[in-house]
Amino acid sequence: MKQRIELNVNGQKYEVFAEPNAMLADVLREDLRFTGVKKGCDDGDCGACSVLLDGKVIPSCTTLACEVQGREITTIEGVKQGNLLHPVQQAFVDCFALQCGFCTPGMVMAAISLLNENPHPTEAEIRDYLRGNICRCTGYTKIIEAVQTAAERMGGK
Amino acid sequence: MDQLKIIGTSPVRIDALEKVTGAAKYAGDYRPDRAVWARLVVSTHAHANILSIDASEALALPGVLGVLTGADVPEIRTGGYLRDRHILCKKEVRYVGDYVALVVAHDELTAAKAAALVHVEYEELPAVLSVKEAMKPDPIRVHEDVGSYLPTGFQDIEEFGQDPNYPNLFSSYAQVKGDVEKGFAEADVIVENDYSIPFVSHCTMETHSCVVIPEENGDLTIYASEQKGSTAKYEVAGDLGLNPAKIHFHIPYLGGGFGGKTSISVTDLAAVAAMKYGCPVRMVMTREESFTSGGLRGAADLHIKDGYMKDGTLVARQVEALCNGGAYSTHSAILVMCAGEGAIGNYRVPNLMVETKGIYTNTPPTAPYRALGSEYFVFAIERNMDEAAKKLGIDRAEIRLKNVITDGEFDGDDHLVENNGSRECLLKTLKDFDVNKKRPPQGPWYFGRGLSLGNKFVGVEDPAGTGALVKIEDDGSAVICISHVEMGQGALTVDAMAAAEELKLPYNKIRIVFGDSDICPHDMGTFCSRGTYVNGNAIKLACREAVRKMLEAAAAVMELPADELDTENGRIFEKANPEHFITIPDLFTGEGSVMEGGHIMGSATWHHPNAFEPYPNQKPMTFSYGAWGIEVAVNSETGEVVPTELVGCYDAGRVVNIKACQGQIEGAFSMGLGQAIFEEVMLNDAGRVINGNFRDYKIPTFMDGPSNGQLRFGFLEDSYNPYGPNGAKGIGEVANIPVLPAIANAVSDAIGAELYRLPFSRENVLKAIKEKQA
Repeated sequence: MKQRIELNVNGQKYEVFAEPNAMLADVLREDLRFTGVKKGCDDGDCGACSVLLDGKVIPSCTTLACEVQGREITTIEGVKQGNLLHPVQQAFVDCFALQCGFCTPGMVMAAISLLNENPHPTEAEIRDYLRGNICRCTGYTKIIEAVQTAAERMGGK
Repeated sequence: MDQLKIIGTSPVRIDALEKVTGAAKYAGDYRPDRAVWARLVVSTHAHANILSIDASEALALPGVLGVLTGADVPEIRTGGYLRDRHILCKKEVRYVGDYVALVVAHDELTAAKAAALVHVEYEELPAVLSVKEAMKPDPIRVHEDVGSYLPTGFQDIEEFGQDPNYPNLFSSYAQVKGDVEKGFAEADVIVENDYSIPFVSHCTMETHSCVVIPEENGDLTIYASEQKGSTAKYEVAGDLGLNPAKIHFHIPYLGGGFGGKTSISVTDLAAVAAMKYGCPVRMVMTREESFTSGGLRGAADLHIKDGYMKDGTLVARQVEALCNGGAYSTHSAILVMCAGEGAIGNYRVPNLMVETKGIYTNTPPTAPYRALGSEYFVFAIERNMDEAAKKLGIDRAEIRLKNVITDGEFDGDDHLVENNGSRECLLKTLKDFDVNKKRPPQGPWYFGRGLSLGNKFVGVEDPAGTGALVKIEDDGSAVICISHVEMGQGALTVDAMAAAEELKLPYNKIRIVFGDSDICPHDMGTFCSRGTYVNGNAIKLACREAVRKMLEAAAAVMELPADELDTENGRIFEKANPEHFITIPDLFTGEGSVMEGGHIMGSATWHHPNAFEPYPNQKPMTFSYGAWGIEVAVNSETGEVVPTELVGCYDAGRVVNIKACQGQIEGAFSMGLGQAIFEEVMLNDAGRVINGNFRDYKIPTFMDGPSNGQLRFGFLEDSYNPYGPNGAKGIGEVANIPVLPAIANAVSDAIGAELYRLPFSRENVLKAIKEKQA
C-alpha cells in the first residue's frame, strides 16, 4: 500500500506516494525525475546512484525512501552553485575525468562528500573513499586527478 | 603532414557539461507520458521444452497490463548475422536466462513482482555446455536445424561455413597462407599449446535499456542503448516486419558499449509490447540479467602450433579456435571471421593457417568484447611466443623484433602492409623497459616481466558508406548531424574537432546532433574501432561542401569569383587581400545578402577506397598497433598479482584529442588488468551463471588500478594514416589488446611456470605455483 512520504531534495520539499519498500533511487528517478541519479546494479555495489544524505555519500538504491524523511538529500542536480559548476564538477570537465558519464554523477557526489570530510586527501585516501564507485571506462586515473584538482582549487575551504 | 590547428590538442569533451550535471540522458532516462514497464520471465533450465505457461496469478495483480509469450511474437527469428532466435521462445529454451515471457505493468516494481508469479512448466532436455561436447559426433543439438536459418544480410554476409556433420557449428572460417605442414617440417622447434579463455562480461555501467513509443499513425519512436548506429532501425524493422522509414530510432548517450551493445537485445521485446498495448514501454535489464543475457564475451579454446628456426625465425603457425557462441550466435558469427586478424597484424608468418569455429552450446549468448576475438588471439600468440623464446634460448624482445612485420611486406591474409607501427611501438617501449631486468624477491613477492604487441583491424569497409550533414547557422556556428554513437569514447568530441578543423571555425562554434535516424545520415554502427575514422571522413567531406557553398554565396555578396575567396575563423575573405572580408552572419543578414531566410548545408557520404574491391584482394587494410612492457609482483603465498612497472606505446595514426585518447588507454589498461587477473563469468554444471553481480564478479576498482603516474605510455607521433581523417586511425580496441598478454607473460615469468588458462586469478596462480613445486 502506497504511503505519503515527504522528502527534502536539493533544498526543496516534495511529497510523494510510494510503496513502503520503494528505494530512494527509484523515487528520485521515477517520481521526482532526478534522472541524474543512475542505477547500475540495484545492490549498492556500483555507486552510480550515490547521493548525499546530510552531506555524506550513500547509495540511494539500497536506501528506503521512507527512512530518509526529514533529512537533507542532495543529488547531482543540486550541486551547481547558481550558474557555476561546483569545483568538483569543473575539475571533472577539465581533467577528462569522465567518458560514458554513467558513473559520473555518483562519482562527483562521492568526491564532494570526501572533500567535505577531508579537504586535502592523499591519492590513497581518494582511492579508499571512492572504492565503492565503479567506473568501467576511465581506469580511474583522471578521476583522481580531478579530485586532486578540485581539492587544490577549493583550497581546503 | 598538413598543418592542423585543433587536431592533436585536447579541447574539453563536448559532452562533459551535460555529464557532470546529470543532464545527459541515457535510454533509461526517457519516460514518455503513459509509459509502462516490461520485465522478462526467463528460463530456469539450460535446455528444455516449454510445456505450459500459467500467468493467471500475475495477471490478477493490480497494475499488470498483460503477459506476452512466444505466441505473441513473429515467426521470423532475430540475430546479429544469422536469424536464430525468436524474440520470445516459442517452444524450446536454450540457456538458463532464455526469454520465456514478458510481463507488462504500470511500474517497475509491479512488473518484477508479476514476473515472479508466472509459472512455467518445462520438459527438461539434455544440455550441452562445452564446445568440445558440442563438436562430438551426433551431439545434443542446441538448434534442430542450423542450416535452415536465414542470414540477416548485415554487412552482406550470406555464407557461414556450416557443416551438416557438426550440427552445433554456426559458422567457421579458415585463413590460409603458404603451407603450414611444409613450414613445420622445416622448423627446428615446435611450440604447441592449448589456451583457455573464459566468458567475461562487458560490465557497461548502463545495462541494456530502451523505451518504445507507439505513435498514432502506427510509427514507432525508439530510444535505445545500441551501438549499431542507423542500422539499428533496420534490424528492428526486419525482426518485426515493419517499414524502416516508420521507425524513428534515437540512440542517446550510451553508458558504455565495449561491443556488448551491438545486437538488438531488449528493444524488439519492448516494441512488440508497445504495439500490443498501445502505450510506451520501457525496459532496463537488471545487472543480473546483464550478466547472463547482456551478450557475454564467449569462452574459447585455442590450440596454437608454432614452428621456429633455431635463430628464432617464425616459419609456420597454426591456430585452431573453438569459440563458444552460447545459445544464439549474435555477433559471434562475425567474430569467427575476424578474430584471426589478431594473428596477422604484428608478425611475419610465411605459412599460416587459422581455423576458427563458432559453436552453439546451452550457455548464455555472446557478443564482441573490445576487439572481436583479436584480444584472445593475441593473448595466445604472445604467450606462445614467450615459451618459444625460452625453448630457443632467445631474448623475448629479440624474438619479437626478428619476426615483426614491416611496411611493404604482405601479411598473413596477403594484404600489403602499410603504416604498420608494430616495430616502432616495440622499440619505443623497449627504450624505457628492459624485459630482462631481474629483481630479487621481497618476502613472498616475486617479480616478473612481460612484453606484448597488439594489433586491431580498424573496420571500415561498408559499401553503404558513412554520411554526414553540416548546417551553417546564421550566427556563424555549425551543426553536424551524424550517426556516430557516443558511448564514452569521445565520439562527438572528435567529430566536432574534425568539423572545426575543416570549417576553420572555433571548436566551441560546433554543435553535434547525433543518433536521430530521421535526420542523421547512414552509418552502419560504432564498433570495430571505426568511429573516428569513418565519421571523421564523412564530416570532412560534408564540411568541404558547406565551405564551397559558403564561398559561392559570399562571391555574390562580395562581387568576386568564389575561387578568389577563402574562409577562416568565421570570416570569408579575399585571398589576395585578407582585410577585405565579410563574416558568416553577413551571408544571411548583411546588405546584398543572397541567403536571407535560406540556409547553407553540406552533406556527403564517404566510402572507404576498398569498399568496392572484390575480395580477396591485396589492398592494404588499416590496423592500429600497440605494445606494453609490464612488470608485476606476484605473491607466492596468496597468488595476488600487482602491476609494478608499466611502459607502453601506441600507433593510433594522428591522435585527434590527446587527453581523450589517453583516457581510452588508461581505461583499457584497467579492463585488460581485469581480464588478466579477475574476470570470469562462472557457470555451474547446470549452465547457470553463479556470479552475476559486482560482489562475486570483480572488476577493477579504485583499489586495483596502477597508482597515478605509474602508467607510462606514448604515441607514435609521426604516424599518419593516409585514408583517415587528418591521418587518424582508431584506438578503442587496440588499447585493450596488448595489456592482457603482457601481464600474463609477466606473471608467468615471475613464477617460472607457464599459464594457459585465463584469468590468472589468485586461485589459478596459486595452483600453478603448487603444480610447479610438486
